[in-house]
Amino acid sequence: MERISALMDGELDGDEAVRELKRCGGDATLIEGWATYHLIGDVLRAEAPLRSGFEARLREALAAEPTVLAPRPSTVQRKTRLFALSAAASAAGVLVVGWLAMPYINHPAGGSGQTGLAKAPLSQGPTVAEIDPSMKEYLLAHHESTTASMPSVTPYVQYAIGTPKEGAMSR
Amino acid sequence: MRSVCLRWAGGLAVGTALAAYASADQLQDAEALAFLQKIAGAARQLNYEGVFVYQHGETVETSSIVHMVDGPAEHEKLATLDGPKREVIRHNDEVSSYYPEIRTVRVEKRAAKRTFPALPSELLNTITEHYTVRRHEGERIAGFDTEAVSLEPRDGFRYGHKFWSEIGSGLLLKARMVDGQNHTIEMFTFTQLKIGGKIPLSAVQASYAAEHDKWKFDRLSNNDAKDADSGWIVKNQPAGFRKVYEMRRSRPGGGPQLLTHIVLTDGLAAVSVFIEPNPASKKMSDGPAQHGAINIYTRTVGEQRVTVLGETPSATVQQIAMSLTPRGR
Repeated sequence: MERISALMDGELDGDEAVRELKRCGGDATLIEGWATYHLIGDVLRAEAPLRSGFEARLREALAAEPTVLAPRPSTVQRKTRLFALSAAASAAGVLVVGWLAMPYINHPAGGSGQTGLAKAPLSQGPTVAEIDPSMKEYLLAHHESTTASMPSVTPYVQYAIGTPKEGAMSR
Repeated sequence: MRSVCLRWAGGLAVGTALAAYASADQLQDAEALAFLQKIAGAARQLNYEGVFVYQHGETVETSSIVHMVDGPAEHEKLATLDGPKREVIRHNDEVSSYYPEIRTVRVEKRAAKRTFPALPSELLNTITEHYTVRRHEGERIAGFDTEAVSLEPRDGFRYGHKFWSEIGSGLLLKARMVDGQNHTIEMFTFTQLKIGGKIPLSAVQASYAAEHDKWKFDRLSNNDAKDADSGWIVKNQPAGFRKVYEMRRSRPGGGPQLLTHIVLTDGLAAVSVFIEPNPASKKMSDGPAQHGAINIYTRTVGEQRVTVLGETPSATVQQIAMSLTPRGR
């Protein structure tokens, strides 16, 4: 299992990796382990499939487009509305590509994850250029084990919501 | 009561933050402690259900919470209302997190009775050595009248806090953590709340109970965390920070390797120390870093990588990191 973890982290060189992949292929337990580690990793990075944030943004894009064109005469408006819809649709296409390429940009919590953190008033201090998976695990473990300032509630807030938040700054 | 509420609604519109500060009284240690103990107790001993907003940086998240006490047992259900669906169910010290879109449940035994509400009273007792506690005029929050205290740090090693608690029960309705420039680092506020009353057990159970036996159960977390002497000592930490526990635990994300986890607290601020063998891939560089309200300091000591992080100023995690030493050196 340790080697699977190393393989996932890209810590094995070419030959080792090929050997490990072959070993995996023939062992149901290892395949299960591989899947489980990836699933946990996905949860930590909030890379689970498309969800509400995306649909909400698409709805917003659709809702926003015709407003700009509203003062125009109605015949033109109908025509442009169709155009507007297709423009929104292609914007959505870009979003999908963006999502696949850089999951953390299209963060489910309204996309506020990365930019929000980058603009946080605290950012005059040192900044995290890169949060690696073990740092995310540390942050999660910290939230699980401590309560900081807010009795009873906060650890669970951060436990529940903080997980994807940490993912928001991945890589 | 009604007229008090109306008066407050009017008062709020005027905005009396300045006046509140001007009239702030410094509390005697005993009064301050009584106030904090009441808050700590109320959160554990009361039935309540409501909706609260949690704000950190520029991000705002809304969640619902139901807390139910049944004899000695405590039950709590927390659910996110925006962003991805998450549900956290707590029965005493067992915490289960539900991730419906990937049909996964994470179950964890939390180290029991060691978190702030239940901190040994000697930890609360020394809070006034490191924070000046002042009483402020309360404000109306979620329909309740509150009383407020601020805790101003006496040095640069911790952030400031302000707590608003419901006058009758002591339940915390709003909490704010601020940096040295009085900027809000994080804030939590109830927007809707019911205190007391009967809460059925069903209200604190997972919404996915009917189907979750088909979900994936992940028990890879710190079930196997054990109190242990890590062989590391903290020699020169900022005043007031004491070790509350030290353990060997598994990684939250899985994987077989155990790491050392030490937690220090001054009663309010908590700092975690993680120590593990330096991994072959050096993805993390040494030095300070920051993640939201959390400051991080990473350092390599021999073959070990030491990572210190917490909701404190950068100087605190750095000093703790620099003062960690393997015993016998």
